[in-house]
Amino acid sequence: MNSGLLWATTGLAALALLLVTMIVVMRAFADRRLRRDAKLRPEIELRIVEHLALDDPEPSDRPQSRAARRLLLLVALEALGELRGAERQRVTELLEQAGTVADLKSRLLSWRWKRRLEAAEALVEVRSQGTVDALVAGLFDRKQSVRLTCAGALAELGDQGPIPAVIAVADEEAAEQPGAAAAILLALGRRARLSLSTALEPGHSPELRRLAAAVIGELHISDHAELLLESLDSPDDELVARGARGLGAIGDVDAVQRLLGLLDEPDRAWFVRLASIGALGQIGDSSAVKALERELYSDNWYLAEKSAAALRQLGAAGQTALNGALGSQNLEARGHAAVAMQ
Amino acid sequence: MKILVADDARTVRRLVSSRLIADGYEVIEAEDGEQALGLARSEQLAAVVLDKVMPKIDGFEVVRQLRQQDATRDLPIIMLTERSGEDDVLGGLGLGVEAYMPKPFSPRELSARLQRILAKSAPSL
Repeated sequence: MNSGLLWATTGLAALALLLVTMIVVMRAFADRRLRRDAKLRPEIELRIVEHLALDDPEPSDRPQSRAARRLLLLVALEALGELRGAERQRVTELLEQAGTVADLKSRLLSWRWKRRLEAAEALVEVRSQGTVDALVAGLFDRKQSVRLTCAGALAELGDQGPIPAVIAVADEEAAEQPGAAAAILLALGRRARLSLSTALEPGHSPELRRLAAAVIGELHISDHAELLLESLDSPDDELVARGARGLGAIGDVDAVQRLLGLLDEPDRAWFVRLASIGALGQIGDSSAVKALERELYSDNWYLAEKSAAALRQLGAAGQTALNGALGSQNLEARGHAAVAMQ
Repeated sequence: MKILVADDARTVRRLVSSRLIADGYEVIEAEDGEQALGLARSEQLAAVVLDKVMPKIDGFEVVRQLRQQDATRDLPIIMLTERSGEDDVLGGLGLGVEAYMPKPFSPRELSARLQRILAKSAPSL
């Protein structure tokens, strides 16, 4: 065997041995960590449940080892995901007293973006008021995921001060990360609902405004019904459709005339009419019967089907219109009416 | 009074158990539906706190099977679940679940509800 081949074979064998050794060592470390966590976990759980069970618990001190601190955060995050109300707040207090929140704040300044992201994600759940300043600084992080997560954490806190900056981040990222932007707006809607009006203002991106309209409707925030009504005048059909759906979800009777008006606007996309029909059904005002009856005979299958369903929601007057369709010559309308009346 | 707490999430079991123990109950735990069913049949229980989503047998099936047996037909059950949709609530109440608590939940509230349920179902003197 020539020496070149021998060297190559020896080299490959050494590399394989090194890889196997690394795997074995890493596995041994991982197993050791699992065993240590299994041993420590009951003690950490006891710490948390005692803190919750006692009426006036002793302030919690900082766990001695790094493993215990890591596990405290892990178990506390699990508990925070399951709890609400005063007990949830108690877990946050425990983490503040144990120095965990301070650790997370300093991790937001790490040079490693994954550590910053993990810290921000933990702070979304922890919701500690003492972290506002650190999270606001995180809104300007160079990593998009960290910015969005910090914005989400601030939205969950509902603190009024940073809200404009939070909305600015959602606005910037709404086109590329609509899911994350929607999650931020949903959190704002639950914690500081009046702030959503800012997101709907004309100065913001179309994507953000559409999301804001959808969230207002989803959360039934009737305080913003007026804003949704104004959005029906927008040239952006997507925004108008979401505004219409939102008004339907809120059940705003004052919106009926404007929604009927949308059905007569020839330049509107078909899905705007669809949203308007759906909203009129949800609102349930019988003044919409005539317009919906007209749509029942539309050539557009979706509009006709939606109109039949909407008429079903309009009580006796809607029922009369459906009965009329059952006896009509129009096969499609008869079919939709029959289905709606089942 | 002995209460069975059945949930596949260890953290939830600990949170609920510790609250109930602090309020004077004796608690046993199950980590899946099959274990819950076994314990409910073999132990003298005052009530069950049951998660809807569990491995092996889910919470609804556990309730169904308990309601089919004389010994456990009237056993008070509180159901916990991640989802709080109307269908889930109606489904649970339709099976004879006494109370339905969506997660996230408050262990104190759960204990207070349990106390009220047990007081109502206690035989009158």
